[in-house]
Amino acid sequence: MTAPAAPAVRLEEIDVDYRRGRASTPALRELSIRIDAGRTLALLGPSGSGKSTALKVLAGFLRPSAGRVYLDGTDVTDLPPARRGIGVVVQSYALFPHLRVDDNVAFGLRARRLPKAVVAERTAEALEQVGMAEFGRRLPRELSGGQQQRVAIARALAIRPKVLLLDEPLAALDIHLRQGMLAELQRLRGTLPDTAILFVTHDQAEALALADQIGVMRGGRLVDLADTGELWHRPPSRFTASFLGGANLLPVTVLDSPHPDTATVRLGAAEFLANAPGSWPAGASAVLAVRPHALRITASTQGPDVLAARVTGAQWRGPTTRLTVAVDALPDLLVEVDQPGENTHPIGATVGLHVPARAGVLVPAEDAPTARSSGVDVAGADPPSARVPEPRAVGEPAP
Amino acid sequence: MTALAPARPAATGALPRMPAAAWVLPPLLVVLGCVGWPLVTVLGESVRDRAGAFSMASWSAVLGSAEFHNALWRTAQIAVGSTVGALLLGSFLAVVLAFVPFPGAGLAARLIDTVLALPSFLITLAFTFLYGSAGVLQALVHAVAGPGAQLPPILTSPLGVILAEITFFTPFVVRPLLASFAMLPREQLEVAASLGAGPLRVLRTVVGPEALPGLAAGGSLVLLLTLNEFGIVLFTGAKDVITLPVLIYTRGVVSLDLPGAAVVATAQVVLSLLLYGVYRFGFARLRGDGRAERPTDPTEGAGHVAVVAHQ
Repeated sequence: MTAPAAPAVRLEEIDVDYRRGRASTPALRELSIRIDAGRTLALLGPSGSGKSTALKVLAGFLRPSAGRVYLDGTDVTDLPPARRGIGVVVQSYALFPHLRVDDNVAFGLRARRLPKAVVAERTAEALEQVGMAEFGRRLPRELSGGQQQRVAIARALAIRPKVLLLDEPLAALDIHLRQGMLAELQRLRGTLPDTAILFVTHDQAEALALADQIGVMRGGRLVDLADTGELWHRPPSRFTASFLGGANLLPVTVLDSPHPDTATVRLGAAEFLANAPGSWPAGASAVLAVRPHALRITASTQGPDVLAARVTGAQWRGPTTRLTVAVDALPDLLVEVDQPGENTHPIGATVGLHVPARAGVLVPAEDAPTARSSGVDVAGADPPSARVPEPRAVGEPAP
Repeated sequence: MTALAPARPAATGALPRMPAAAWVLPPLLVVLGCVGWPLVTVLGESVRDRAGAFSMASWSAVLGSAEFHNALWRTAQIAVGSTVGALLLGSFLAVVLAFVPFPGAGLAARLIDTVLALPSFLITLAFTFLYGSAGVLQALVHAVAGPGAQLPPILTSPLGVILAEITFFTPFVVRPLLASFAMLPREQLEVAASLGAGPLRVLRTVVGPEALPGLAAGGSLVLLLTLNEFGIVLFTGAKDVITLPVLIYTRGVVSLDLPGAAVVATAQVVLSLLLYGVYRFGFARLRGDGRAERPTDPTEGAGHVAVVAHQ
């Protein structure tokens, strides 16, 4: 029996503090993650949540105030970035403006003092990989944003890194280029079967499209981490439910749990069948996380799973209209509902808010403070989830 | 009520109507009056004999003299030597201040800035107190090696002038360089390091090329200033170090040969303008494709000093 291979990346109990004079600001607390070779982990979170700081620690740009960094089982915490062999792509591309495209791509190979023939061969190969073979003699300023991003990726890939770090790689592109580059990154992912990728983004769509696993970060801590599908369908906390998919958070009381992973819940006079991972005793307070696209607006306010509501706002988004409704049974609560097509309900109209069976998932009424997130294993299944208090008002639109 | 309506048009109409191009006149007149007129006067003085008649005799006499040739050569020697020294020392200081984190870096940068506010002769005066024949260093030598021991007279030699000028003009290199470093995206340095480049390679291949315009700006300014420097040469007391400004002073004030002094002054002006032209042309080429961009102003960047130092 052979010992399991060490993960390509392991961060263990990482703390980072930004110091200015005698003042110290915590930027990262007790971050522990693992990424196996060939897997992609997306760190998702709002600005200032610590996701880019985690990437900088892994790259060696920042030294953690506590914790260790391992690559392929080797402790590299004290190694400078130049000796870690990690490919990095940043939001601003950071191409060297005075170097032509092929010299940019060859930069890392020359730094390694590889023979000229090898440098030329691998430069051409990397440019070919991103479809930029014809642009080798251009200067960065002669390229579009998307082309510059491809060159930055080629430059990172040319050194054949075992770990690739992507820091908001699509954030500087316009919406059309972003879609194209997203597809390009998906294609590239397929050509790098042995490379572990850490992908930092604040865009849930990018994370869902590219990552095998998603870690949700908030306030310098990892609050939840799981396989992408698992996290989407069964968010373990209020914060993750609202951040990933913008779920409405409806306060409910658990009535019973007739089947495993299912519970009947009550909200006002209405009762719904909800997904309920784990154990939910009768009478427990919980939150039903239900995304806007899973709710329906009906003309009738009658029915066991219908809540009386009033339309307070409407945003037409082309294929859909996002309605905001105030539920009579829940004062101060606004619920968002996506309806197909244009809005047919005038502002102020009384409507029914229909919550279909198993449209939502139960999450704890209060997120537990993230005292620790240690032991969370990116490669492992069903990780323990850490939870944090949710500051947003129930049903408030997601960021 | 009706009186209120036409108030604004009437006020506008009261202003003198001038074509936009006419606004070039005020600055042009100031430049002509403050700079052009004195230069024309100097040029006129150089082509008149003592009786006031037109004559090129002074030009022939001065330009053909060994004294002028020697002064020109000595001026070039000192200017180039000082510029090279200031570039080397300034680059080193700027790199340390910008990229080596140490407590007090901001204070050090501000101290270097402060040198710019001091008159050049003050630095030289301090040099005489430190390294002169009656200075601190000489006293130390006397104390250690006996009263007969003498320091070599470095301060009154061309080397002494060069050292004093390096000391005074190095901040003129540091400031534009720090401004260039501050504009360099930190991500470029980080990515370069992640690609395997050590600090020296990053400096040479990433920082250096990006800082070249700042270096050229600082170096050109120092070359221009050292070419025209008078106070430092005078205060070192280096009697044998005759530069063009010293020659102008000697002919104009000591010998009262005003036409001769005017010839040397005109030559000095032509030299400075030529150098400035070369600098502008070279800078435009350096920036590439001849774009009409302003070169880095060496007097800018004071605000960046602290920024870079704190990064």
